[in-house]
Amino acid sequence: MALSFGLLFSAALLLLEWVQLFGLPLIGFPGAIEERRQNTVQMLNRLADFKKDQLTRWLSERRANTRLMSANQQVAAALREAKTALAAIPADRSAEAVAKTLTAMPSILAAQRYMEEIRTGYQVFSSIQLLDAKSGRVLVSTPSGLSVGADLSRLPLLERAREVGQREVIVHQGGAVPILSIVRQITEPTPDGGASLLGLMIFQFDLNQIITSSASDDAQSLGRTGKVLVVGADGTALARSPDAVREAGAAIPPDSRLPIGGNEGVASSTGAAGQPVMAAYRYIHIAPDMGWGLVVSQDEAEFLAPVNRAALRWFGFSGLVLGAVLLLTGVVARRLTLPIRSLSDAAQRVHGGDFNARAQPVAPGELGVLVGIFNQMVERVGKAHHSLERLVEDRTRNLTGEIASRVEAETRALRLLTEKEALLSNSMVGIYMTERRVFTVCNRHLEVMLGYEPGEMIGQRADIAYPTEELCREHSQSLYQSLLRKGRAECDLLLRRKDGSTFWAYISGHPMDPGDPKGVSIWMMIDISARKAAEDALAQSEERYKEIVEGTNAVVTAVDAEGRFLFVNEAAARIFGLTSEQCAGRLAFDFVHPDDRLGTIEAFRRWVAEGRANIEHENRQISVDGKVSHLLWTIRTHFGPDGAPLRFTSIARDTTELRKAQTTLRLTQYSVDNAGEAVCWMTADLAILYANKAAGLLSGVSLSHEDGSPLAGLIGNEPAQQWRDVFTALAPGETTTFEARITPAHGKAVEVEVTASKVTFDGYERNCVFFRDIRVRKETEERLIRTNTELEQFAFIASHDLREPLRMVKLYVALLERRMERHLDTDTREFMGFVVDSASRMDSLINDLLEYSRTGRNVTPPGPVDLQAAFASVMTYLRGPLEECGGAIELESRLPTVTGDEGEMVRLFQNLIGNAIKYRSPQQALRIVVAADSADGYWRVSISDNGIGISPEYREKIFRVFQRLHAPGAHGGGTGIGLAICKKIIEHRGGNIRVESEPGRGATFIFTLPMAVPADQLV
Amino acid sequence: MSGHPFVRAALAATVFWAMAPEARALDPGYAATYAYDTTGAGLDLGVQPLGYPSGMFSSIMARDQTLRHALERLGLGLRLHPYLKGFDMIDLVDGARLEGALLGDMPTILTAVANEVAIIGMVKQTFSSVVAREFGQIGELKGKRIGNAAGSSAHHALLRGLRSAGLSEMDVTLVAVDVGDMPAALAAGTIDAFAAWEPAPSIALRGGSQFKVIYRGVSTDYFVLARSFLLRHPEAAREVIASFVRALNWMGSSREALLQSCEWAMADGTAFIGKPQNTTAEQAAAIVRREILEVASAPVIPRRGAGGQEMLESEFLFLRELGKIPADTQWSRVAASFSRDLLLEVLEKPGRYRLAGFDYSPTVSSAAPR
Repeated sequence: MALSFGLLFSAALLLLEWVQLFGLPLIGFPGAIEERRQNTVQMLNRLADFKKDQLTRWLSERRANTRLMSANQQVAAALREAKTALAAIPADRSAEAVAKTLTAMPSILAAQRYMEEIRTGYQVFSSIQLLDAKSGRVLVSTPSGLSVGADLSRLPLLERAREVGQREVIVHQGGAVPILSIVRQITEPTPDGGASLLGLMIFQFDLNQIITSSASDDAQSLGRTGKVLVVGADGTALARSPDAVREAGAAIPPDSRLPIGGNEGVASSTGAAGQPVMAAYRYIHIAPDMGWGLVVSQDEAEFLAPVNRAALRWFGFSGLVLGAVLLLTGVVARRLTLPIRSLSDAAQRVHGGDFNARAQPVAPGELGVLVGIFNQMVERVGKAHHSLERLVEDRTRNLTGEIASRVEAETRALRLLTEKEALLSNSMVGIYMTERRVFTVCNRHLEVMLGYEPGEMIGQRADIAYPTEELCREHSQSLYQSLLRKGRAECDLLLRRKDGSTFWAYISGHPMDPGDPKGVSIWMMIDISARKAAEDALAQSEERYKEIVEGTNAVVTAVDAEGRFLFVNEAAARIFGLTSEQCAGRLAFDFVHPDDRLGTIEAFRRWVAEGRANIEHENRQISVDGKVSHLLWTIRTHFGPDGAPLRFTSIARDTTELRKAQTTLRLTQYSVDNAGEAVCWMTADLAILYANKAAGLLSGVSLSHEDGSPLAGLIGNEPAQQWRDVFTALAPGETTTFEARITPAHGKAVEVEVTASKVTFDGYERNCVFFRDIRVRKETEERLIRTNTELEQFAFIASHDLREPLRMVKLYVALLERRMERHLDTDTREFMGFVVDSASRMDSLINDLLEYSRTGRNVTPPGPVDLQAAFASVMTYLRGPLEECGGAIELESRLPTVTGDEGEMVRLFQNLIGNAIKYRSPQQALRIVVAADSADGYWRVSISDNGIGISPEYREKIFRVFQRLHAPGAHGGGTGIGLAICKKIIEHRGGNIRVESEPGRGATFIFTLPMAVPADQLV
Repeated sequence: MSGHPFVRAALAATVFWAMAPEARALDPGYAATYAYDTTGAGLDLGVQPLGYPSGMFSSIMARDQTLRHALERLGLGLRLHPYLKGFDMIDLVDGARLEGALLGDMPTILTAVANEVAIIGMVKQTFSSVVAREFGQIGELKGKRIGNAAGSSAHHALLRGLRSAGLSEMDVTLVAVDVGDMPAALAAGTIDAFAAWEPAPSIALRGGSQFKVIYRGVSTDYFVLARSFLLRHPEAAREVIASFVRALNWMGSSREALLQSCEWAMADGTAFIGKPQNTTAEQAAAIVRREILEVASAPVIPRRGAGGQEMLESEFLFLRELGKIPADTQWSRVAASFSRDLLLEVLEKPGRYRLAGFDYSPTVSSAAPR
């Protein structure tokens, strides 16, 4: 169950994360990755457009510069004079000689000054040269250029530059210092209206200057992996920012090829290191036969890094939540199942005869009551069983002794009787003679026995001594027959005295004449009433003994000297897996467990040798079907007169379940002893009965079981008094949890969380506490509160400071636009519009962030706020928009008065009702219902609408900062912070807010606030 | 062989039928009533009033009194025929119906393949753009409806863009839309994107920030003359070229001249399609400056080998690979059409051809009869 829940929860978290990352394209939700990618595309496009515009403008300005300079009259004059001078110089003259001639000419010197002034003044030209068109010689050069007089006639560029119509030729040259050259024709008009080529002017520029001039800005926008690259027609890099060493012959990466052929756009590509990049590429026309590629790129790994980090944090959080849920589910499951399992185990043990078994006590509740009742019931049954067992054991022991003593007594009595009979045969035995069944002689003892006076019996028939005529006939016949056959007769007879009482007597006699049994006979009579009574008692005793031995659960056996069973009661037979009859004659040691057998035999031999009469021994028995039982034997050895053992009688108790219980008890004890949480049992007076190791460690006191020391020694006097109060207030079976500070022996106060219970065991009231060290948890909570406070302050200050530069940006862009209104082209206006829009949006974001950070930072103390008045206030300025869209709002019940800040409550209603208006459905007229009720000490206010609704997966997201479900311009715009502020307001006041909604079925925002907050708890 | 009329007709038909199906379905009714001179005394030029700055050239040339007088002296009359796009003129520039035309790069190639023509000068150098609603990359166009002018330079730019994203025409739905209607169609949502040349992209972008240029491909317009006309009337051809250069010079001479040329072009465009242009003269002027006035050495066509014609050659190869041009057609056929000399001859004699003498009438003096 817990696992299934955990898995479902895990799947839900992963699904949520998947949606957050990859979006739901079907409903237009792009997901964080796509959103990030789109933002990067937008940023790269803007930067590429800006860079292209920058390069194009730079080039345009340079072309304008060169056009102006090449039209300078000093340059034309120098060319004309130089042309004349060169015509006079032989073609094979050295460059130095030509230079010497030229540098002596005033017009050349004037042109040189002009060109140098231009170069140093503009500071954009690497060099400027003036060439004679025909000879290709350098006429004038700035110091950084070629030397005067140098012959460039073989330069391929020159041929193109001389061509008619090629007023301007632009070429570039890569390398460590990429150079751009603009060559312009200098002409003079001809009489026929045409133009004659005088010379060429070459202007050279360092390409890197323009690319790297804004490198720091680029780095700010593009991050660590971003780059701006200018490439030639074949994709080789001409310049790049940030600058890097270009390896000769290095392969051209795919992203550098994107603009080749005159393409512009944005694409996912591959960078120099083979890494995925997002690149915006542009093509810059330089000349009809030349163009540059511009690539602005950023590694995907960098711009997706925030998303990846967020995903990682989310997965980590999901894992933690999952772990916590599983742990919680496990704990709850264990809290439910553990008592039931304990109850079941205890019931099974009781069923097996272990009446010491008890279910583990649990917290109060239905299970607690059940466990209590069960334990009480077992207690009673155990006591009854124990009493019965003890009774049987005592009785058996008594009977065994009684029987033995009686047997001895009777033996002794018999011996005495025999001796008496011998004596009576002389004097003390009734002696008489009969003839034809008539008493002829009687001694006095007989007369006494029968209760007659001396001589009274003489002449009387023997019939007088019989109780009944029937007995008289029966015995007379029997005696006659015996006398007839054996010549003598003897028997035990029940006789009647004169007074009618009866007694048993033994008579023995023989005829004086064996041939005449009916003649004179002599008889002896002995009163055997006492013997008869003893015999009856013995028989009855044996019967009772047998019933007890057979009826008890105790194992009872008797074994002869050879170790064979003489007697086995039913309980013993069950242990051996046979019937009592089957056991008889079998060797007792055959039923001893093989592992214990030798030890047991040896022990018996030793005990017999030592002559021990009573032995206690425990061993394992094994039945014929292999079942093992633990038995605790009490054995009595019966020795013969010669000191040799005659037999062994034994009683045993099955201790199998007891041993299991002892094992369980030891395990439980070990667990509690070594538990991480401190456990302590105390008497009602808080004297320690038990404390585990953790309690000792926490208190710094060495404790032992049943220590008996007072609680104060463990936690200090003051806390002990506090705990005493807690226990005094607790009823038996109750549990409470509280936080406390203890001052143990080592003196350093420790904050602990205490779970205290009062229970009753064996009629005694006991107090139990579990307590754990919560110092780390407390410190973490305090640190969190501190961090949150600092963060709020930081956001507040940062938001304030950020708005000022933004206001300046908007202000100066507006000024620029006004001043340059006539000079701005469409693109520039569009770019400036982007700047203003972006600044305004950022201002809105910061403003909302400021608002968000302000929420909950009110300096005025909270007080009663009438929500009805707050609602009315909001409606004064929302009624217009509501009526504009044809909507209606209904207040279903009067709104309550709550504790808080009036401004916050107005903002709350403004955001919630404003959202209902913004996100109304185009298919139906807007209807808003505001209602309030109360439950569980909270006011509950709901604002329902019939708008477009919200998908279930966004119910949490909409309350986060800057989270919007729609495009920025849709539904009246907004920054997505309104609901985050609502949540902060409500939670700050001790309530909560949630939304119930389905797409297309409207939404109901419900917030709760406490009905009454004590003054000292007001924030 | 390739000069035989039958062969030329066959090539033209092949090129036409190889183009997108929607092009074949489009009824060029607007051009069906055009009357071309068949007597040999007329000079019929095909122009595109809705394309900038091509439209400015044609509007200025239509008002160029210097040209009119020069041609009259040569016994020729100039007549300008407006077309929506260059593709509609491909098989007409044969010297019999149209003697010349201002065409984009793709129609120029197709015309050079289909007919014997001379490419004499560059009219513009700019980009054709793919404008989309809400998309960021061209790869996202898969399965979308794209407004297209079949056979145009913008069509070529679109094909190249799709190729760069690993797509082809088969992956999108091409919808035939007149270039002037594309911004409105995009705003109305009947298409998801369109490929066009200026001013359509600029107009669309002004419709809102949701419209974005997601791809641009370099495109160039050329002035093309039928080779047969050159052979018959070389001086008239020079005069036409001179008028073309003069127009460029005039637009670059002053802001007023540039704005005037833009207003004329807009008026001609309005007269052609019957509805006003959705742009201002200032905006049109910005386009002209960017696409021709600021192009160094324009209108001279670069020589082969300096990187100038290679771009057109790669476009030719691309179209051939896509089957838009018969597979056995060689680049040399198009390369041979480049004729720089005529322009250089004119430039060498600026006085003779009055390249800096501007005489334009406010009204069109060279409208074609209908």
